[in-house]
Amino acid sequence: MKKLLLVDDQPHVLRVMQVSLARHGYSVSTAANGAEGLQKYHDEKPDAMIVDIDMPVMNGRELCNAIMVENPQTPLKIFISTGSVLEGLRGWAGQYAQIDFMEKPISISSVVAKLGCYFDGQA
Amino acid sequence: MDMPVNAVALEKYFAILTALEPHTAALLVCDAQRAPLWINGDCPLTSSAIVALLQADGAAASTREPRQSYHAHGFPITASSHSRIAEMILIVDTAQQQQTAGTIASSGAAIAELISNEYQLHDEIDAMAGELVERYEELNLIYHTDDQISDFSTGQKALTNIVGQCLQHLDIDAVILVVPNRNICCIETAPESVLAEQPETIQSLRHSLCTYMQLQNEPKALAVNNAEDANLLKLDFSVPHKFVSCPVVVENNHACGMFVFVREAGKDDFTTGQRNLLATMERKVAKIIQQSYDRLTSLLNRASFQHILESIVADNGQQQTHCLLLLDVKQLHVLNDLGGYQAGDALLISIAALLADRVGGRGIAARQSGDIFVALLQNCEAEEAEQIARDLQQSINQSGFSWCDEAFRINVNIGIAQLEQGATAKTAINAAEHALAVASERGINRIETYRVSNDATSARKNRVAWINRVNQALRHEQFELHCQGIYATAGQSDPHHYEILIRMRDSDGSFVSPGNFIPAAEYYQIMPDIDRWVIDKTLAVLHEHWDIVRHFPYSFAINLSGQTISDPDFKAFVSDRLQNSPVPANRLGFEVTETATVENLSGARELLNTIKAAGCELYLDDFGTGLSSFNYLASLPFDYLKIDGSFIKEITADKVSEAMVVAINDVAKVTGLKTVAEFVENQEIIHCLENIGIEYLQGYGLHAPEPMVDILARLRISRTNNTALQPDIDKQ
Repeated sequence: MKKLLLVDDQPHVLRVMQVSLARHGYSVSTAANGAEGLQKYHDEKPDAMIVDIDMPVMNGRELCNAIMVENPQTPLKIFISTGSVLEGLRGWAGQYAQIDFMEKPISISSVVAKLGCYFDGQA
Repeated sequence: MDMPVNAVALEKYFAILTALEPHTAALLVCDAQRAPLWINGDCPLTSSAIVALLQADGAAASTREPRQSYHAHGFPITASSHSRIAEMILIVDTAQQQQTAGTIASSGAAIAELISNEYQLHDEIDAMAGELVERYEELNLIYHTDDQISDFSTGQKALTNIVGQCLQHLDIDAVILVVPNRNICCIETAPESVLAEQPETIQSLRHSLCTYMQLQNEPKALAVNNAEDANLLKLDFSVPHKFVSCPVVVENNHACGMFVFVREAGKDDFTTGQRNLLATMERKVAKIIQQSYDRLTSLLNRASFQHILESIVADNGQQQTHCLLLLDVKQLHVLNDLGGYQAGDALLISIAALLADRVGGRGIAARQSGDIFVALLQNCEAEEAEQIARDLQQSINQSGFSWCDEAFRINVNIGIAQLEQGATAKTAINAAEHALAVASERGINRIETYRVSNDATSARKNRVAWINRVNQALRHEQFELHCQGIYATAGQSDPHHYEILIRMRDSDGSFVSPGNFIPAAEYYQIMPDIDRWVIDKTLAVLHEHWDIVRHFPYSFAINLSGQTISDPDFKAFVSDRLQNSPVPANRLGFEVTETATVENLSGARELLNTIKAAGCELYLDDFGTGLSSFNYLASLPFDYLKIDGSFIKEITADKVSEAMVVAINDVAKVTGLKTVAEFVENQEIIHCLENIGIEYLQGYGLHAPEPMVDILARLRISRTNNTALQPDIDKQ
């Protein structure tokens, strides 16, 4: 069972994503901000993460930077969820092969499709 | 219902059982058909052996006799509806310890109930989670689809986006949004759906629904989940899939399109909630459409047209020739007056349809403003655009328009502009507006094409420059009153009365010819302001010099323009001035042209009667040029008929002109009117007019216009010297 870590400061988003992705056969854990996400990344070693960009304490960009600094070659896949992918953000993400984007509004079906596509590609 | 195998951790129940019944050897959970779902890890038996043992032992543990060391006990696992969804089989090793069937039965039943409860709870939570996800997706869809658009292209994108988002967020297989009269057709199919491979099915549904919509007076939302629904709704088409559809209502209660969600036949039925969601999304679609299109005619609105035109002009790089066509519907106000706005609206709708039809795939058509339409004809030279305009004009003329059994002939003027090198959307529209204005000046049912060298369009540009000067002159008192005398043919010594003429003083002190600024003032509808100024100024000057004027019998005739006659507030204005001025009303006269009178006969009659009743004399000016009937003359209170100067100038050289003057004079006599000849330039003409019997003469040959104040000053001197004022011709 593939392990997912969802990091978002909106509890209802976490709840709904967790429930629906679990229904699609994923083992899902959640974190409410970047710092909590970094801790769970260490503890649970997820296969993929879905990370909101705007969060308190530690935002999505800082979380990704922290993970990438620790382990630049990590096989982890990170999907950044954002309202619009601005040039600056795209440029920053361009340096990490592991980072991809999911543009809001994010539908569950599109998340499932994207994850399926990623894991199928790996297999 | 299938039992979710991984939803409940069964190890813990096995642990409880072995605690309760230490000789529990195995726990097998199998589905309703006894296919194994879970078995404890250290089980000494295979699952098929366990099932065989249970079958051999019989279903009821309490009645079973031990025949071997392993005994099987079966317990149902039930859903909340008490239906059996699985079975728990408990194997007890009787070789180790003799168990009473009653103990096993009660322990096993308690554990089976716990497992059932957990499955039921899981089931409930799973259903709720499904509901939650669905609602979340619906809210996401509603909140994150934009219905505020900045321009036409964002509107189109917003519509495509709504269709795409519906497909993304909802459990549906295809979305159809079709609004035929706006050329909107967005169809999207979920890539994984079987419908993606059946585009003809979706097209057929689209076609059937559009036909259905057109046949209904007030189409309603439809939900069709099966053939029975289709029968109940009396649909005359069969649909192999489930769908909900909602009419797109842009105008009041008028469906112009359909918004449809489609789901494969094997999937869940559409619910009322989903139909409501569709209606919510339809309102967003309608709002977007309303922002881009004209609500009445369904054509694009001005802003959308402008946006498209700008993008076409920007993309073009002058590689292709395009033409703009502006169409002005004449007499719309007449129709509005006679039949109310409903009649006018119906006319605009029918003209929009004709325009859209003529433009067809050649370009785009829009409603520019109230009675003005605009079209862009792409890859079209001016000559071809003129041909299209002629065809369009002809079809509008021929199709006519009837309202309440009354037929109206509809006329349109059309201005055409070919997009020049370096043209912008603004300059292109300006050019077409110039052409349309020229067409309107030339009459009705005219087509004009803007060309840089076109004299008429240049004249119009000239007018724009003049109008600013006219407005300035009104504000800064740069207008002055001049007078020209009108003399009786018999005698010719003193003028009989004067005509007031307006002159504009330029910034360098020179006078500007009225021929320069009057067309601009007429075009921009400020003649009523100028005429009011003349009336006020004339009364003020006469009042100022009343101590002299009162000793002379002269009246002063003021010209009223056609626009002034049609001005609904003018009657009250002139009544007020005539009643309240210290100058007696009979010292003023008013001249109106034949054309201005005929254009608004009933309004003119009312106004002229009011003026006449106040004591003023009335002059019908420029008579003969309009070729109007004499019939109406008797019904209007004119005192004088002024024969147009074009006949008088030619009277000594042209027999036809002389005959016209004779005829007009004869008719005037019969109808009791006195005649005035304009443009009397020399003695020869005077003699000719005297012979015909014309009663009054006016022209440079008798008196050149001069400032009113100069005439009044001369009157003052003549009063002082007690001498009569002599006409200029005698002085010469």
